[in-house]
Amino acid sequence: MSLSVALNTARSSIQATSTQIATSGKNVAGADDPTYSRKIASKTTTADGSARLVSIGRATDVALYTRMLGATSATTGATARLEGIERLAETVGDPELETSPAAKIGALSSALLEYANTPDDPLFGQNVVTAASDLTRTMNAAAETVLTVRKDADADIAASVDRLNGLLGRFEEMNQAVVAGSGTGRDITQLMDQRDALLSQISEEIGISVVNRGQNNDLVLYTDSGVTLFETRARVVAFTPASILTAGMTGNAVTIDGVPVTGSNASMPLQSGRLVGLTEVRDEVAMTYQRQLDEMARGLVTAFAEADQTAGGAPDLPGLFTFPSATGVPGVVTANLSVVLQVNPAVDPAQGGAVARLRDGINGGVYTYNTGGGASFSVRLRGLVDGLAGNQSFDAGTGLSPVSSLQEFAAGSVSWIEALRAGATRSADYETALLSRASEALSNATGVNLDEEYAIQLQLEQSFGASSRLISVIDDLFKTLLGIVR
Amino acid sequence: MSLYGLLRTSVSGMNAQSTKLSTIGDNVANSDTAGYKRASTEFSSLLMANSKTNYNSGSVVSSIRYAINEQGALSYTTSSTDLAVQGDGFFVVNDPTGMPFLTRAGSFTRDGNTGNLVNAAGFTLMGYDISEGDAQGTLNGYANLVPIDISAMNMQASASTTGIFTANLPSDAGIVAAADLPSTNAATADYTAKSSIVVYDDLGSEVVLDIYFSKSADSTWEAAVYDQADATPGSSFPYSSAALATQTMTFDANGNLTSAGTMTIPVPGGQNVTVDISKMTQLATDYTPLTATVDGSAPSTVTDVEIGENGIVQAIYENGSKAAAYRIPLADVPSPDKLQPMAGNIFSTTLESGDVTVGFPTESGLGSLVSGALEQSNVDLATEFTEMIVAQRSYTGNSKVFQTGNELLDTLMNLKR
Repeated sequence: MSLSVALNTARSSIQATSTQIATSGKNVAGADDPTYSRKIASKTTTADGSARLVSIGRATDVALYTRMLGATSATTGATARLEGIERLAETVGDPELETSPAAKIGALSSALLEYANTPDDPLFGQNVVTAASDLTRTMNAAAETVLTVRKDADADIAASVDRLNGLLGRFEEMNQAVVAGSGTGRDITQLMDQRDALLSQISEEIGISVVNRGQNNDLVLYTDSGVTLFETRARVVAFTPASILTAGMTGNAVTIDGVPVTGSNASMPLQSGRLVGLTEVRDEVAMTYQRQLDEMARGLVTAFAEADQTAGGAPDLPGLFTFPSATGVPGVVTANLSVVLQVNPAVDPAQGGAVARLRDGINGGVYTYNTGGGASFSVRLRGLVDGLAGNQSFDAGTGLSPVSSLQEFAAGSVSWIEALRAGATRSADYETALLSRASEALSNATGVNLDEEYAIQLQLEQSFGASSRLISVIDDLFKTLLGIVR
Repeated sequence: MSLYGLLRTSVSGMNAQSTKLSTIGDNVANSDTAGYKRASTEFSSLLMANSKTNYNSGSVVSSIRYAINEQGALSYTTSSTDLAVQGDGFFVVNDPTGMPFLTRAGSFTRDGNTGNLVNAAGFTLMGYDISEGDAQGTLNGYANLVPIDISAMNMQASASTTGIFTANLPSDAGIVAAADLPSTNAATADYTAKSSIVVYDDLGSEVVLDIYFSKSADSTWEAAVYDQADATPGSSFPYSSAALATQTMTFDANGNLTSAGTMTIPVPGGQNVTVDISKMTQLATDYTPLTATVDGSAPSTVTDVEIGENGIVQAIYENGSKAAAYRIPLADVPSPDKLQPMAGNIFSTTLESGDVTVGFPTESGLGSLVSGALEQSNVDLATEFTEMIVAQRSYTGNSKVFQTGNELLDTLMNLKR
């Protein structure tokens, strides 16, 4: 019986070694895949002395993996925020090139001064109107850009939520496969790799925390704020994109499992991930910038407003800068003002107006400044120059100095967005570097080391060779035995 | 007389050797048959009455022995229903007519028509049904044994009854006004944190429970549980039916739970789920769910079968849950070598072997079951070949004796011409 047993042992060794070779082969094939983790085939000796492959495991490092997920969320959040801010900053352009609203206000101010010096020359008046139209165009374009950025961010949130629901659905399937596979003791390492890859994709959209339920490698996902994201079944991530998103109107909140997780009313607000970055752009950065533009527009309307010259108590009316169906000068921040800001048609020759009305009083009647009708009347124009340079009070919600001249306010807005952009760039760079460090650390711990695999393969080759040699020796022995029987 | 006796003796010797060669032939032919036990031939002499001066040759009687008690080597396979016994004991199998037999041949596969586990020779594996509780067997017989039918294990659902929920509640959270506590089910209800968990009702349908935690006063929290199916779309509150359970939790100065450590939630259409919340804490950090497990399972199909070394057959369902369905017993007899081998590697009890006792693997001296392995035959080819050469030599020797006797008789016959 011992020869047969020796044969059986050699065969079991060959069986186990070939599975180990296959595992090593998979490792080599997966060496370039960042989501692949090293597989380890463990062998044991059985009761009758033969070798048997017990299980295939994989190298994991929970702490490093959790750090990698966190870094992924932080990076995508910072990148989304940076992209939004960069688009807003484009409205400012290069401050040197004088394309920002602040530069245009400067241009208007100097044109106005020239006109005030020679009020009888309509050419200078025309220059003022041109500078004013230029300014309104810039303001309108900037306001439109802000609206587009917000609208795009809203659409991106919707896309991100769709992606998240899709990923959670696939995660559910993969988790089920892993749980079922763990029960039967099959090799589930490949499935677990795929599930981990899904996790890192989910962490791009949203910050997550992962809890292993122990039995059968069943995972439960929570958002970084503790809302249940996946537990046996994927929870619903819901979001309704706004059909219109006007200035001053916050977008809808994303809800997970019925809990609002973004926006100011979020009961359990998310901390990181693309959704957070996009929401911040949509509801905070862009809205503040929009408010600054609106305040700038209101400042312009206020600076050029015309007062009742007869002390009759009539309300101030918009002058050079106005907006459709204006009935007065708004005293507080007015949403959307920068979008609809326009040059008063009464002074624009292109729209049938007369430039000289800027000098004399646009609204006429009690608002007539140049009661004498003199062609060199410059009091009103000088008043306008002073008004433009004088301090105004602005809304505190703009994040800028509440009392300053319009020029300073506009310059402050430029430096505000630039500072924000620089900060966002820095934090995005930092998070990206952190992510690459975390990924590298994880790859060092769980990735495939080709040198090591080659060494293992050499070892396996020798073990396989020895077993095969044993089989051929046993075969020779049998041959000798059979040779005796003639 | 003695010359004729010589012829008869050598014939009996040749007969005995050919019997031995037959057993060797069988052994060699079945050297790769799983569960085959080696047969061998033993001889005993039969002597005639002899006087001191005269010797009458007798004859040789052969008897067959089986090495049934001898363990064969295990060879490993990839099928979880291939079974081997490591140690003493036999599987109880039924032939198609329902007669019970013993065997060590464990290459069982699922039969398409019946769902039973059937081995290569067509015998059905028997076991006790333990899906309703412990096995009800008798020690000395085959009572209550049923075929192990894998397809009958399909579609089982179990309702949730126990669970564990552990989380940290943020001690620095704002206090929710009494009128807005989730337990009031008001449209304006507010809460500090929410989790949801899947439980199963009596039919195995999933019920998602919304669990709200709200700080009602310093170190005092209210837990309220609702059925998510009743939630108002969009805002959750108000739910169309009242809270399933509410409980007030209090914490000591170190943030440990001082109130009751369990919470009972009546699942709609299901059982009362007793949730262990004793490990909940209230510390100065964010809401962090740590453990959320509830037993129970949805109805799902059997994807695989796991057979433990103690003989328990567990069905593994699609959702990863396991349920013990059968237990495979092992039968043993006082003298296994005296069992009567029959076609198909089965053995039947004989008077010499003694009666069967039925027990469970790993218990009372019986061996353990090895899933994914087969017991090879205990035939060693080298031994068989050497035995064969010896038998051949003996046979030749006997034939030489016969030839000599024949020649002597010839000589005798030639005396008379």
